Amino acid sequence: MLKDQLEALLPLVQKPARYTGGELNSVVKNPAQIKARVAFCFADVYEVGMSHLGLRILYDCLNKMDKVWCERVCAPWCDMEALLRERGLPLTTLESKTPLHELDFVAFTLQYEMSYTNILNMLDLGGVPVLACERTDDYPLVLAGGPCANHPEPLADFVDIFSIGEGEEALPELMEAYMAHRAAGGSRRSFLEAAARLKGFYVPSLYRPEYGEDGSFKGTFPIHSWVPEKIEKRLVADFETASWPEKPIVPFLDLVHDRITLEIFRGCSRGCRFCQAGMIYRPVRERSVETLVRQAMDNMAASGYDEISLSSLSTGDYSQLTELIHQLVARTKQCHTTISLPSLRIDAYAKDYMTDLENERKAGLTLAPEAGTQRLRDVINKNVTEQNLMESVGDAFSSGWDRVKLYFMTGLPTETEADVLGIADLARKVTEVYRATPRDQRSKKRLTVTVSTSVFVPKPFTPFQWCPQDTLDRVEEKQALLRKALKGIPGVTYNWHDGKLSRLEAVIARGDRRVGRVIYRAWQLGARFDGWSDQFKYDVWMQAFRDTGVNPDDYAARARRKDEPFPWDHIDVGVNRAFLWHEYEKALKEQTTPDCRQGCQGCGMNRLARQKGVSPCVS
Amino acid sequence: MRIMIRFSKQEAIRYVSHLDLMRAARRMFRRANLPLAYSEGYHPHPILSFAMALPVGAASQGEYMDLSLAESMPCDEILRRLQDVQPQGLSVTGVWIMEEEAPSQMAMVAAAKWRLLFLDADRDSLQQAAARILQAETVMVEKSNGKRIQQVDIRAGIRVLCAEKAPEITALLDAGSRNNIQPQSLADALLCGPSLGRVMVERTALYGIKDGELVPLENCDGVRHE
Repeated sequence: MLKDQLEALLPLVQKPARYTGGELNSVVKNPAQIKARVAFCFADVYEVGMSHLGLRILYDCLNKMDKVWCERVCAPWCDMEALLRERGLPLTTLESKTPLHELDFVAFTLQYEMSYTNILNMLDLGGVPVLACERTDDYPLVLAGGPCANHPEPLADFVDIFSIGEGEEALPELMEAYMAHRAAGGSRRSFLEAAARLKGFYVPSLYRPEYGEDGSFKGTFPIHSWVPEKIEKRLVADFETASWPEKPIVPFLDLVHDRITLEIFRGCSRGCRFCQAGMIYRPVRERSVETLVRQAMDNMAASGYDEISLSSLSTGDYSQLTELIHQLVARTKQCHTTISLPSLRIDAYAKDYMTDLENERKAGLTLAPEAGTQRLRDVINKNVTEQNLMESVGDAFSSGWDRVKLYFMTGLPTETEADVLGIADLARKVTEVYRATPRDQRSKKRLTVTVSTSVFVPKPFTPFQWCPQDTLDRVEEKQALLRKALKGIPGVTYNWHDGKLSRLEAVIARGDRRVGRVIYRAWQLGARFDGWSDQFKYDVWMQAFRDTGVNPDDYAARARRKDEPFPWDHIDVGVNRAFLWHEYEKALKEQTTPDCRQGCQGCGMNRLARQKGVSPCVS
Repeated sequence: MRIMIRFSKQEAIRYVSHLDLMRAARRMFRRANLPLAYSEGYHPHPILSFAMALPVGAASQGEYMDLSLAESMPCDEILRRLQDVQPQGLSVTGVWIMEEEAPSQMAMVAAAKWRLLFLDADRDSLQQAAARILQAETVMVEKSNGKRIQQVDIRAGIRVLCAEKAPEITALLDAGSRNNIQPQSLADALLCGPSLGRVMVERTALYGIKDGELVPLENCDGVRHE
């Protein structure tokens, strides 16, 4: 029996609890009563997948439908994969140990580009043909959504249907349409046409990319006249009442993030120019304090978690933050609960609620100035000043904080050496603020400052989507420069991201279907878990580029022309291209754009929001 | 008030490590709304300890926790509340009040009963191996503590060994701080080689000593039965 054969593998692998299922609040249904079975797949290991809020929301949302059963699958680690392949066993779902190929839908959330080889691998291990064109009616439909679905072309040869935008209403609609289609005698493959008629779904097999003679990308065009030229993203009608998991799954294993996460608002109004999330999740919609407190209390009662995290793109911008924290602290006072606030902008640290969050201290303070000089911060529209930074750390130090993490990027457009050295400058000034804090107020321990730099990757749907990425040499030069500058400063550690991995991310982020062939080849050659530094094989990817004849510099290192067609032009996230170009021009002139809560900047989202009956952007 | 909670660990949760099990238990107590006592100091935590850790992959019918509550409650109420919220695989099977001054449960443990189910070894060779072990004066096995490998003699710790129903073997082994025999060591000895992946292990009971005899932990001095 398959279940027994799989159980026999558990003593032979690391962290067997990754594969057992059986967690509190996981959902098991009777297959005989189900008309649509879905595997929600996360292309990384259990500890990462189960930390993902989207999985929890959509798992619950789909399972609220009587005739639908949504199970989970996470990527098997290398040791488990080796055993599965050696013994000819398939990848199965956590809840019922059903092989992927027996389900109706295999659905992936596309969180980051460097997980794509895992997607292909999971399909293969699950017995599903990796190439969409090889799937017959006997195989599941492969669905994909999430942030990277907004630039879907690199996966167009592997995915049957992309879900664009928010899934809480779109996915149940898709399921209803599928069940109706099957009840009426329709086949799986013929459902693709029905899906293409639903709002917010992109079916790549019904579109054709065109290239010029010189190999340049010309556009993605519908094959049939009844298929939309542009696919508009879905928005939930009312964020306040959108589907929410009352009973979150409680894993046994320790996760990356193992706590109740409350989504306090969606979207962002700051307009930082490097940030794709800030653009694609617009418009800004908040949940009320009342609803959030109720969700928190319900979730705690159903799970037994002792930590609540407030999630959003910029938690300090939530209009009722102080009130929310006061209420949460008051309601959880008796039972030793930690409340954490990741994603707090530097200029939002305010002492009045920080004292409520004494427990935060153990984790350390995380701030993201992103750039080392005001000039460069203005270019990227990260409207945070050095004074904001020093005041925040000063307040924190005098409340007892002694650990600070500072996040930056190198390779931002117009960056010079002075900007890179500015990072070291800021780090040094932070240590000086600590020394200047009176001894009776500050911690008894020495200060630790961790400076972390990632490599800027230009992303679609941002003002910087036209920019080239730094070459590998430039990346490494800058990191070496910064290493040297930080060396002398006591208490400061420097972590830097791998330039090679970032280069690949840049290729895939702005890739077209030709890049899909590279991903396929890299997978065939053994690429897996590329985001894990001990598994990443750059040489394999370089071989894949050579084998497919694709030049990575065309995608990563080339500056785009203003009117050049992009492989994501057929997806409409609401923010229009003209606005993004205008922001790019402002960036080059070092001009900032204020928070659009202060006044609409005309990004185009209002138009889309009104059309859909969603209230216009928060102002 | 100090209580002893006996529970089973079966099914999916047998693959959960001891640390993860502790966390699962803390969450179970929160769901049950038990009035937990917390430690003092910078990082208050519930006052909880376990009688004996189980290796990952082993199931058990006889596990014990030592928990402090801030208020008194009837034991059957505690039992009912825990059973309402226990995760799949973790069954609470008994709750007793402990004397505050009784030693820790860990200090009480003297022996453990085990059931080993061998997956691919044949009946005869297991029975012969068991007989050899019982007749021997010493039984040497390899034991690694992560850094080095030692040769250890486990014979004295094997109190009872029964192979009548081989490939299912039952054994009563020394356990606790004075002398502790791991079930894997016995399994290695029975197979004359590494037993990893070849045996399913279950702990069926934990014993302490009362009046010179081995008794289940809940029958030891310091545990009240009303």
